[in-house]
Amino acid sequence: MALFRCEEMALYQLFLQSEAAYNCVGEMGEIGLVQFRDMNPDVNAFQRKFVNEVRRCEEMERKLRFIEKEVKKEAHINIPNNVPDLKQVPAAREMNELDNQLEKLENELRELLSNQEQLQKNFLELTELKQVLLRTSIFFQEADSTRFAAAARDDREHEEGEALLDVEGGASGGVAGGGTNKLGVVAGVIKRELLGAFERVLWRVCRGNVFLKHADIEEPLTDPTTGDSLLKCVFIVFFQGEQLGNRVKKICEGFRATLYPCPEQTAERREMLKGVEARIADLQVVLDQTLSHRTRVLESAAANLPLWFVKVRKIKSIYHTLNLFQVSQKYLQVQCWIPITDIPKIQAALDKGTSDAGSSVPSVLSQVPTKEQPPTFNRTNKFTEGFQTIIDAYGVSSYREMNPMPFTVITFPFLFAVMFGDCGHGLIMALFAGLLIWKEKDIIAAKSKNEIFMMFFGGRYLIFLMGVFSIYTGILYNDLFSKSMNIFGSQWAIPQDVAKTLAGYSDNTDTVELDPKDSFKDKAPYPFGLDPIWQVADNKLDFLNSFKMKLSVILGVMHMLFGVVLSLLNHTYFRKPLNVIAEFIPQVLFLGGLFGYLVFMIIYKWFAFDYTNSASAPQLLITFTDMFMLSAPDDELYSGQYTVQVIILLVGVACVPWMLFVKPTVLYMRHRNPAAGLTFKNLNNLAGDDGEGTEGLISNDELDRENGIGGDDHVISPDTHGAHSSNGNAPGAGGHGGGHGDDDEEFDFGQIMILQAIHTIEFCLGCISHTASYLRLWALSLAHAELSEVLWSMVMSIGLSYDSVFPGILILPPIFAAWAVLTLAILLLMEGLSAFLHALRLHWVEFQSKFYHGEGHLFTPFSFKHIVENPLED
Amino acid sequence: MSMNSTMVDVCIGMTSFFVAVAFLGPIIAQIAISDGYTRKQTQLAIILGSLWSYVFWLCIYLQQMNPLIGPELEIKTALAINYFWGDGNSTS
Repeated sequence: MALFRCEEMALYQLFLQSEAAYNCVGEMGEIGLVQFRDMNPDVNAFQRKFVNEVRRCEEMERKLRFIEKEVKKEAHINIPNNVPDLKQVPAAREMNELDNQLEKLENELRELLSNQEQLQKNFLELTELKQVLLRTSIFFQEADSTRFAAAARDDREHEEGEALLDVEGGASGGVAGGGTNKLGVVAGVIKRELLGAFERVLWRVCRGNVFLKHADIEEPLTDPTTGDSLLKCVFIVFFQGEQLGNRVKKICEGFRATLYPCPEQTAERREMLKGVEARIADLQVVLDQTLSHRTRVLESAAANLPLWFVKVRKIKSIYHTLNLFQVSQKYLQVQCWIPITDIPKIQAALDKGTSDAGSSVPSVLSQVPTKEQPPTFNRTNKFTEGFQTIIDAYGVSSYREMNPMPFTVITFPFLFAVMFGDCGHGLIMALFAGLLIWKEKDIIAAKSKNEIFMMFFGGRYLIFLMGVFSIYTGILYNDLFSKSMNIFGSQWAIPQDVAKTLAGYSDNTDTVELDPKDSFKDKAPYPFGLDPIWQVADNKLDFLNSFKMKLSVILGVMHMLFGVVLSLLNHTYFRKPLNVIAEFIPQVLFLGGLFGYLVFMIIYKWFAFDYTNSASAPQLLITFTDMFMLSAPDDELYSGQYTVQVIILLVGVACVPWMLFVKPTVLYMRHRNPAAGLTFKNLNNLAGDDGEGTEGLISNDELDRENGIGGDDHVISPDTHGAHSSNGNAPGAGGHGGGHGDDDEEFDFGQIMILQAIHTIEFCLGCISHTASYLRLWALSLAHAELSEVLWSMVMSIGLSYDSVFPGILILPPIFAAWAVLTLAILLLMEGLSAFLHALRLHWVEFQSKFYHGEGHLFTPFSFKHIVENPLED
Repeated sequence: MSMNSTMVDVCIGMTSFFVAVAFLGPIIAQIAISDGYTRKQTQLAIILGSLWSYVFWLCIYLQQMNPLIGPELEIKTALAINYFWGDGNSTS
């Protein structure tokens, strides 16, 4: 498994027999190591061969989603989100079985649903009728009493003496004579909110000649289609005459009031009520049974749901992939990118697929020579995945160039820790990440949708290393929640005579500066880390700033030189000696000479100057600037310094035209003089193509074979077809500033020159700006230390400064809580993110610009992994 | 610049510790880890980690070796230090 560079890839042609195609592609999906190319790019999606199968699968998915929706309506049924990964390709005939099964299930559910609705509608109607019967009995009783009163009057007009109610089939007791003008009645149920408007409209339309009575229904009723609960009321309208009656009925329709036949006689009403109640009871039983049946069906469906989803999606993706193939009578063919080391595995999977399909003809894999840049495949395990992600976020590495990931595993947490440098905070960070790592299996199984948490979880190993290194740098910076630890005994002490004189000054806040001559004990520094006395010193920052700046420059130059060395490894791998001579060596001389000299001066000054000659210690920054201005140093670090500096400067300046002109000139001379043993073809490859030529893959090499020229500069053989590893290594990686010749004949000197100029300027100016950029290591660690100190002295100290237990014991817990929350929020989260970002920037820009091209594209194999891991996701 | 015995001891001790880690770590990894990818990664991590940690420690140590300035203490702090940490005339 490749660690330092991406996997070697090769383009293969795959021939599958028609019967075996489905199974073989399924097996490819299970192992997830093959990236297929679309052989029919200009064919419409609807004209492809397997479009019907895809449609069927989408239909099945639709049915599954419907079933899922129904299951989700019943909140108590749990759909499992995990499916055991059986690595089984669903057989082609399973599609039919599944289709039938799903169809049956869907129909059953739909039927149940409509039945349920119907039953509920009936139930609602019966309930409303019951209410109507109950309430209107009151109305009729009132009407009866009114009627008796009217009958007692002596009147000639039939209206007054007549029965108030026009009853079909007979008058109710005690009324003399019938008449044409009897009162009609309409009873029904209407929504409560519409009642007012209903009354008004009735009054206006019927000109006040109708009589409305209403009563509320206390319990809310459930609407069968929507499931909402509604408040309704019973109403009854008395009117006279048929025309008025029609108008009333129309108005009731308009207000969507449901009308119910209401018998006049009390006895009839009572009987009807009994009947209705009996029917309601029956209906309730049927309704309950229907619901329980539905629940059972849904429960059994829910258990199988994720499995079905996985199967259907697998089948669909297999057919999608088959659509990419070039189809002919007997076989299907496709081109695919395969990692070379996995060829036996793929061959075995193909054989399994062929035998599963019952076919006797084996599938054929044959290599296709090509000049295209293969996709970049960086294999990772759970530990390195996080680091690879942050590298890929900037740019996927070009094919077969050095992958910065293995180095980033250590340098990134280390640079973070230099900026974060606090034991206590580092410990909290490491513990948090340790918890995530310990519980990782459970967290993965839980499939949380919280994006921010999953981001932290994905980087758990990264955060853990960051925390561990922060503990280390925290011990060295001697910073534990802004306090220093005195483990080995401070190397600074107040001499006795000074102490005696000081005793008299104990009240004021004057300061005393300790002289290293007298106070530096044993002339030996604190063995591990910063001396704890600096934490309580007033001039702490004077000392720390100078130190941290020097440290940052040293680490920065180290990091950058390491990057340049990696570029050498790239040049050697791609066999480009020209780059070594024309680029690597001047880069090393420039960077190492100028900035390496700065590092040398720093270290030399540490050794050469102490308190005895501190007066003559030169300031390094001034010395460095004077070097560039070619002025003699006022204070010398060592004798002969001026000469040495001039030499280094001249060498550095000489490197610039070296970087700028040597390579284009050599390329130009080669171009002009092909008799020097190199042909255009080889020239192209030596200079390095950036060309992602999708020009005919076969045609290029056929051209080669015609001309009798090999395809690569390291395989000069006429027959390149079928050659195994060499073509896989085709250095398609962009040669920086190299020939852009897509067309062999053209040699664009202007373009090469411009590219080389850009590269040179970028490197030289970059050296200076990047070295200064590494000073952010100082800046952030200073900010962190100061924030930490402020938080302690302004928050925590208050809680600890009480002399007596009471009120101290009351004040300390809330103060501690405040301090802890602020530490977590500001120092851990905010500063942590900030240091993370800056460390990342240092890697992406300062480190990687020395060697990384990052112009590749990712390898996206056909794989079922995502389907199996997230069965219920769309 | 004067070097006394504690300094030499400390320097040799720390250097040999980091060198030991950088050499023995990969050897142990060679034996203990069977998977080539993880093994190579672990070896690289041990070497890089010990190198950079060593450089960090070394820079801090060298910086304090010949101090050009001393700490400036408030008088009450100085007296407190004198009381708690001992005076300047005792040799460690």
